[in-house]
Amino acid sequence: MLFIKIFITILITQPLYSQDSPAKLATKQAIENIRYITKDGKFTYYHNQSGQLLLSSNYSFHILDKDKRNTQYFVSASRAEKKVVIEKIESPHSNLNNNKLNSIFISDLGSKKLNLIGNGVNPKLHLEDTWISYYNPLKKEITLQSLIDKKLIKNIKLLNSINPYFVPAVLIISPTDFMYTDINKNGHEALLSLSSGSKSIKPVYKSRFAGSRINTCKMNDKIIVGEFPNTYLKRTTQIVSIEIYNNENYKNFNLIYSSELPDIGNMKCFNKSIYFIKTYNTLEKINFRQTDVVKVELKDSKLSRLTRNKNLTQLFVMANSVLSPSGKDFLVIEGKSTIQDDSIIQDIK
Amino acid sequence: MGVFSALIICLHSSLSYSNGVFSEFESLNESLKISYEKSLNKLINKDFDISDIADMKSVKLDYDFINVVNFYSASRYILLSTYDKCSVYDFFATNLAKSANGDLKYVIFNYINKKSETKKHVLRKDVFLKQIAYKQCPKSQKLRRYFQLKNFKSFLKTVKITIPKSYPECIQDINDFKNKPTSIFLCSIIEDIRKAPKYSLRLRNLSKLKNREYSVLEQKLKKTLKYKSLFNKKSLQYIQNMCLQVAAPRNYCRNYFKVNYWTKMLKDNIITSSMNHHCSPPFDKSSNFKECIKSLSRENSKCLFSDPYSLQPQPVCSQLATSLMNSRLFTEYKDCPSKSGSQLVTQTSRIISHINNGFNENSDNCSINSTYPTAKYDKDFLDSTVWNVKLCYDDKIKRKEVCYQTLMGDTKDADLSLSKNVERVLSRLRGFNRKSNSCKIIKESQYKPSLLEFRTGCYIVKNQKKCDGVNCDFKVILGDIEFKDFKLKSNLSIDIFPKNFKDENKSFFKLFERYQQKKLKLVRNISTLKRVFSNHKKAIFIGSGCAEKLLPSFFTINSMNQCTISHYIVDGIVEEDKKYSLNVRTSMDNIHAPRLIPWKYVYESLVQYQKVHPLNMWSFYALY
Repeated sequence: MLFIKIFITILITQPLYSQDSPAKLATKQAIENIRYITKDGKFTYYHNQSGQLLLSSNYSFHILDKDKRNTQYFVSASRAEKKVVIEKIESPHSNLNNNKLNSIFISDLGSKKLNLIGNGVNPKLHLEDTWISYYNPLKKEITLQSLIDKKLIKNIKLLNSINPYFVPAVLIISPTDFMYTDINKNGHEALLSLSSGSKSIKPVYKSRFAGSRINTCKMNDKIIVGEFPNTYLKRTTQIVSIEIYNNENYKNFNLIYSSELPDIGNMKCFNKSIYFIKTYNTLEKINFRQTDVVKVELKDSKLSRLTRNKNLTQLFVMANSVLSPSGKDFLVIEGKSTIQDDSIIQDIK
Repeated sequence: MGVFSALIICLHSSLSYSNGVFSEFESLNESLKISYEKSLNKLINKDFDISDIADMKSVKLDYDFINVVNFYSASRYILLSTYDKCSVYDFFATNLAKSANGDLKYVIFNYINKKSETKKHVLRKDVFLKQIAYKQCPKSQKLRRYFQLKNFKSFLKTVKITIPKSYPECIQDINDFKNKPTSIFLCSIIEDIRKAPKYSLRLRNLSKLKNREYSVLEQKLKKTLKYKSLFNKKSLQYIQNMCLQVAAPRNYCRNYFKVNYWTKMLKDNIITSSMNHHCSPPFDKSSNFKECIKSLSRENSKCLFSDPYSLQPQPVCSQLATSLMNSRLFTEYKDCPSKSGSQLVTQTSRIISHINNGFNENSDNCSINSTYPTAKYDKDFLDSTVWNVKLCYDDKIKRKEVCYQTLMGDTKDADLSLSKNVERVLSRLRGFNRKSNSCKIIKESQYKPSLLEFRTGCYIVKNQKKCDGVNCDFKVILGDIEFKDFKLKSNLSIDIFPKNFKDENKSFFKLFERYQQKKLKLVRNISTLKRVFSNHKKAIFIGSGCAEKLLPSFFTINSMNQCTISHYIVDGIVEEDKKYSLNVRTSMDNIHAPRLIPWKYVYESLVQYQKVHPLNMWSFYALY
């Protein structure tokens, strides 16, 4: 393994903003092993088939965790990038238990030390990496945990009784205010708000149609909610922004975008725009959607199509980029990267 | 008149192209008739001695004569007689072969005589068949006997009536029918039955004075009606459809499947498990099962949420109808993926059930339906090495732990039944008399210790909330006292596709090949998929992919190379505008709620999974 070039550099062969044909992410290491590359490109988290999670920097690497062969690790960070959160999936190929809980670790960025936080799925960092949330599908319970004061921990039980594979979205607005999604018995998904001081749960947004999926993200003092239909029932997509403060019972919202076609969504907030997968054409009989990545500016709701006829379906934010997996590659949809910095940095802590 | 007739029109040199098509056709008809009659009259008057034929095998049908028969006979029946010489003779033996004068009465043929000269002659059809054709094709004579009135009833019992569930299956059924030597005889009988109303009308108009014609027709009608009485409504309709559509299967099958799945099944008086899944009691006051099924055609949203134990929402009713029409997986049982305890068990059980065309344990307990086939397969073929769900106890005499493989409920197979295994443990440790007593599985809510009936006997009290197909929280109560000297060990690890070279042969993928003599073919593109699908009627496709790519509206990617592994079965293809979608059941979906997923999504899910697979394996195979 030593001969593997450890540090990773993103080489963008074309301008990042090239319309319709985004550049492919090029890495010096096998791209399928990479789990996270930091904004400055100085740290790379990757794993190997031996069941190891490794951190590389400065032409050296460190084993962060080691488990059974084939153990998988998913690594993510917030825009603050102070910490990384790691989800460890043991025996992913042979043990697909429906309610399997994964180990969730937290680590300071660039640190060799991992701290086990709990067991669940879908971990996410919030509030400048001072809070973490994850979900226990067995108990149908969301855990919200402070990373500063370990006594601050809150569990929220979902009502969902109709979809055993539902994983809620979670937003932590402040150490006392939380939002999460849930589904009622009729199949309506809703974004709900809960405050520590009060036991009552307030609806922030309720889906108009049963079966629609809610995507949500936070941009400054606004919550962005996208409702994406999951079916062909002549149902429309819509994205709204909701003021968090001075908005009694969240009654006021602004419509940012709507469409008559069933967009896939997978919406992400990045800088001052909303990115999602838009449907441009459908063949209803065969459930086919011709899709591309678009962005909507929050200030003026201007929509720009960022790819053309690529049929992309997923988006995620990593460091300073919005990426979309396409075949064996990752397309860089948006974001400048300074990851080309090859300078020697201080030792890994 | 079909393609053969058209070919003759094209080839006939005497036609003038200045005339319209219809007049050309008329003139061709006339000229063929004249030349056939001339030839026939000339040959009939010639002397002929059958012993003059040097070798019976040298007898060949006259080329012009074949053209005449082709021209005047219905092309759909010619199609049934084109694969060899004997099939042509079978065709002649029926009333379907026509000549310029109506029913075929004479056969013109060429032969080599004893002086090695090529000669042409004619014989009456029955004489030709007896003296020449059946000498060449003795099996044809035997075959014909099956269709005599006295033998027909028993023959009809052997005809398999299948109702196609999908477009490709429909095409395949018609092609199979086309290739059977018996089909031409069946169609001949069907053709007579179709003409029966005409025969009786003609009889009514015919004077009894025309004694001979009347009695011939009367006899023919009587015989036809006797044949008809041997069919039931379903078989008559089925064979008639096959006979009439054999030349145009695509049109027929396309129209057949234009009908909505729900109403079609009702019309055909078929009730499938899929229908029961989407319309199960209790019904509204004004509704019943039939009304509920009918409503699925009208109310598209009615199918979205009908199962709390699988991935929701399910597809809308119209898409489900398309999927179910194109489905071939064995699905005649209840299942509940989230209660099976393992997506891999759900997947292997579905495949095993399909391979065996069912299993002898169709339980109301849906999680047993998803676990029993795999556990039984392990017991029967794999020496109980895979089903690592065991009820164990410490045998102090043997000084070792003794374990029994178990399911989390009862089945007909006592060795795998939970209650039987608890009884075995109790008999070893508590002297429980298994012959006179038994243990009963009940829910926690049913267990009322204050009631007298629970003071004696053996009860297995299940905590339903913490129970699935491979793990369960339960108590054993024996005579009012909890028995705790057992352990449930559940450590199930199943490989459908191999994850390392060392254990490759232990993967189900290889086991199906070895023990079920199934063929596995790697599928990388839609052409291979289409080809295997149409060539192998029972072929299904097994795959493993990343759910984020397969079902992007359900699963979101949040980190690089994130892959939620999903196993799935593909059992149908739907095409529109040169784009293809597949009928997919993931192991999270209910077996009765397949999803139409574009081929591109399926392909991308496989590409992503290949990246995380330990052997970088392409995990999409046809199984047949």
